[in-house]
Amino acid sequence: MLRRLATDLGVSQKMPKARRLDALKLAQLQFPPEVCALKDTGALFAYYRGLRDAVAHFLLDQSEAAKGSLQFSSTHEYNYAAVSALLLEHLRGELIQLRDYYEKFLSKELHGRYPLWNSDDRGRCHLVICPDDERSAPHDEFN
Amino acid sequence: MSAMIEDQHDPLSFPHPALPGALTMAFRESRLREIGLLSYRKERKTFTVRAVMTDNAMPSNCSLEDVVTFQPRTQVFLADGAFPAFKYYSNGKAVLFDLICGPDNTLTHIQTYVSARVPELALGYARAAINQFIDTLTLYTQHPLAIQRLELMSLENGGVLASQITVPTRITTRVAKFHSLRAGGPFLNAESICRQAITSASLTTGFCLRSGDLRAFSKSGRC
Repeated sequence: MLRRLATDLGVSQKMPKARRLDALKLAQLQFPPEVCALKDTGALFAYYRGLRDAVAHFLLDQSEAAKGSLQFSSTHEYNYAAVSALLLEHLRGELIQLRDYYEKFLSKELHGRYPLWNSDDRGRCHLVICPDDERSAPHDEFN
Repeated sequence: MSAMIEDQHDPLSFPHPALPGALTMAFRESRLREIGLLSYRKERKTFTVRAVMTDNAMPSNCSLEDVVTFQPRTQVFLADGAFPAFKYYSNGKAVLFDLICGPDNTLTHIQTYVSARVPELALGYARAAINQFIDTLTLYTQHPLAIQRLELMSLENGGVLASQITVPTRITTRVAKFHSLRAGGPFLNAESICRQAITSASLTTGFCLRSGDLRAFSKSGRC
């Protein structure tokens, strides 16, 4: 998504690299040796892809991705909790990194200048504007 | 939230570090010998494990003491007082549970009995069994019951030997005055999901959120 935006806007700056993993920290958190050997977040997400797909798709169908039914009320809960805590930590880092890139190179082109805020305008400008009726309301957009 | 700090006289220990949101076993240092012996000997024993039940908000950014001293509170009224109940499985198998209530007859704990060699497994399998019991109960009652923590009871004196807890976040954020926040742009949904994941009380919902949509977003960001 960001790469396409950057291409469309003619931005040539390189996308940030995937974050490196700390093998020692992973070992301290009791992750298995094969996870501790992973190099970066891309490899980490790929490693847990099967589990992720199985969790994400279990309500939809028993497709290839969801092979083997998952039991949430089972001892797997340990694994879900540990893995999701780890993924969340790294995904936050990834998002912040990507958002920084977006702010630095793409945002100005897309959003233009941000308005200057004047305290005298309080209560008069920059309000959340409701449409006249619900049916014509734009989806999730303010102002 | 109470401002209780860790009990310095008998602090809580963990077998290994864990990230916030992970399930782990915690025990008082005074229980180290008993836990250590059980883990070392690996003799099969029947453990009593009870789940502390709640239908109220649980503390998630707090001290460990807050987690292990959280008082069970539900609006499930046991009209006939505490009672045992079975959950049946196929082929004539069944698991016994005790529904325990406080003086006001409201449900406080659901207890079960586990045959295991090591305490961690007793807690893990007890959680699975109690979860399955609550799954069926909730389907019929529609009552939003949750396990706040599990307690493994001592074989020596009946006290709490160890707890299985969701590791809380322990964070204080100091926010200085700021002018504005930037537009979310393509991050609008990802930011929303990220907050849902951080605040999610449900491990499985949390997992879907954390590993699913965010991962997809991050990947698409690189494609």
